[in-house]
Amino acid sequence: MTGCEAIRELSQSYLDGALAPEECERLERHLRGCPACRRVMATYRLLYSALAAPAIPTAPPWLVTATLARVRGAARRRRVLQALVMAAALFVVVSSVSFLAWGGLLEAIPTSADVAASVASWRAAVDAASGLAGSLTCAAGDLAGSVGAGGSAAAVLAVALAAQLILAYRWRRLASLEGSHSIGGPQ
Amino acid sequence: MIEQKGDAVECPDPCTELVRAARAGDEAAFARIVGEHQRAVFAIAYRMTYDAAAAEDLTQEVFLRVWRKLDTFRLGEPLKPWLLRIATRVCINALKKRRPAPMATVGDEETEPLEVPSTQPDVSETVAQAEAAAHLERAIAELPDDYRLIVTLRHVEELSYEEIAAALELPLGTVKVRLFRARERLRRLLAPILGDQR
Repeated sequence: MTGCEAIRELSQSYLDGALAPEECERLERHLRGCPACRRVMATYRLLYSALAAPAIPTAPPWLVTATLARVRGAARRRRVLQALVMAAALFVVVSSVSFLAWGGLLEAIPTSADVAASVASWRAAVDAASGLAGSLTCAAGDLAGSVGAGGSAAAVLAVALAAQLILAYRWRRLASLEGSHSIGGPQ
Repeated sequence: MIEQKGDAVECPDPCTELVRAARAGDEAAFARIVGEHQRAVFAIAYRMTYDAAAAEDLTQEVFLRVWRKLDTFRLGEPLKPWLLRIATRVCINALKKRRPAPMATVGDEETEPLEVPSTQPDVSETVAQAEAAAHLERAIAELPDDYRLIVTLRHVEELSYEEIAAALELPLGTVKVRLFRARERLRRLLAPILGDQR
């Protein structure tokens, strides 16, 4: 950067009110002896005063109301989403507890044919519940992005993960039960 | 140093209280945040699009984003730079999808000057000022997006270098260099009007 270019940068900082006193002195000294930089300084002054009066239209008065209406709509949608997610979480919890409680009944079924049929229907149910728990995990992620929903998201995520663990356990139990009957297990 | 004239910058504590209340669901508090910063957000959106309808849409989009992100605002910090950071991101993303309406180049006599609100009593003076403002806006429209944004934050929103750096997430040195180059380019573009032939 040449001397005059550096002075132009100082000139702008001076007009911004961001120049240290010693730099001000340096600028003034240079301007006293350099007509070209004095001219540039004068045009900067004109430019700054023009920039301070921009031709930007004012925002219409209804914009605040419209903005708030849009935010209100988003808040309503978020509350509905939260309610849905919480309902789904409750459903998953109830389903998981039911799977655990009824597990013993399944294992008490006497014949291999009965076990095969029961295992197939249980497997479909576990699959469906696992899908629901997976969706719940994703919903918790989305919810975490919403304002004021951090706690709810963490709760939903914890429920969904617990449900997934329980369902995975049930899946293994079903598989082992099916295996033991297919190789001539208890009748 | 630069005086900080921004309304939000002068009152960090009331802003903190407003944000706290808005987070708790106080709609009136959020309405005050919108009311106090809408002009600034609209000005940035307009400068980036040169389309009033698009600027209105973007302004709404910005405040929707602000509402969603209220939890990420650090209480005690000035609100305006944080809010304008969101505004600049929204506007830049919108610009990637939609370029500003083409504007005439400086000195093009056949184009209509931009409409400038007038309250001046002297008609000829008003016309001269409106023409000068229109020339200036055309010159600003010719600047690259990042220069246009930085000039708007400094000269319309009157943010300090530090606040601009915070709003744009740029190093202070980069802010100073971009501002210098933007204004130098404007000076050259407007040289005939400003009476500088260099």
